[in-house]
Amino acid sequence: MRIPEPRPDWRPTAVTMAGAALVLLGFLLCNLSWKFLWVVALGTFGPGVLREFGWVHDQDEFQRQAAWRAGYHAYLAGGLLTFFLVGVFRANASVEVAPAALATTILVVMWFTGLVSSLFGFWGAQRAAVRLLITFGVVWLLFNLLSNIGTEYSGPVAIVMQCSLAVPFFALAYGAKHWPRCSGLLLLAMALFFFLFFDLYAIFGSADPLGRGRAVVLTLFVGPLIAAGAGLLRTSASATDE
Amino acid sequence: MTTRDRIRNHLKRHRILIGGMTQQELAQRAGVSRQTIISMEKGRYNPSVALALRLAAIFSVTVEALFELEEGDHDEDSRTSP
Repeated sequence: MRIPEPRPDWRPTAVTMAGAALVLLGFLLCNLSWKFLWVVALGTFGPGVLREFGWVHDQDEFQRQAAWRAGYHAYLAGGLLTFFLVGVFRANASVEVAPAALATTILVVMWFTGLVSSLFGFWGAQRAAVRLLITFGVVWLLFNLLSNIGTEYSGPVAIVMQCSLAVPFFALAYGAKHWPRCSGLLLLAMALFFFLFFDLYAIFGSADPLGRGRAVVLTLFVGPLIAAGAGLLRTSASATDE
Repeated sequence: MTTRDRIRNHLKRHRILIGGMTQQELAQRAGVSRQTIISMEKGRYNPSVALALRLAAIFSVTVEALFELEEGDHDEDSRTSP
């Protein structure tokens, strides 16, 4: 029986890294023109297409299963959302919606569902939640640091206060390892807080529900908190990952 | 109601028996990632037949020595007649 070549511990493969680079490049080029969004699409879906055609074999069976399941979950979430939105907008002519906002919302929900599902499917709920929280905290830190470059500089005290908002996420990541269920409850409470704090409830019953990027903020900001919290609630303290 | 079977594996025990093989070593020999081995040992993932056979070959045991069925609830109608 032929034994496959030894595989290193999980690291992003060359194809995955190339895809990520294209995504970053695409978003940078979108500052020039939104036509370059196709570069982002190439980076996001290209690796998967190559793998499905059998031209790239950089995933083992477990990774492939997690990817397929994530794709199915993204299809379910995107399909349900699309039917729901089309029904709402067709039934209520007074509701305004820009086509770009509609398409962006569906795309973001599909992408986020696929990402979270693949993370949870591959890493397991607890480890995925910890990494989601750490990523959240790092992105928040970077965002605050970068937004203070140049003319936007607001002073060291303001920078420290803004960056300190990332501390709860790192704290929750630590808590998720040792007290998963308590951390899960806290995350769901935080999600509810931000849902109210950012007036995201206005998405329901508003004349322009998808305006101001509410749906995107709801998905990309509150979504990870709900996903991590719900995942941690299903984890017991004795089932910690190695 | 249908039969719900779960699969129990003895990967970790055989890793220790074989001289303390690490998850990373087993993953490299089986041609999978370490996370795959972790998921199997935690019961979150059941391998394909091919991977199960490769693992059995690594430990020089039968597949049944590595994996066994934990039968769940049975429905009387699901039992086959002789």
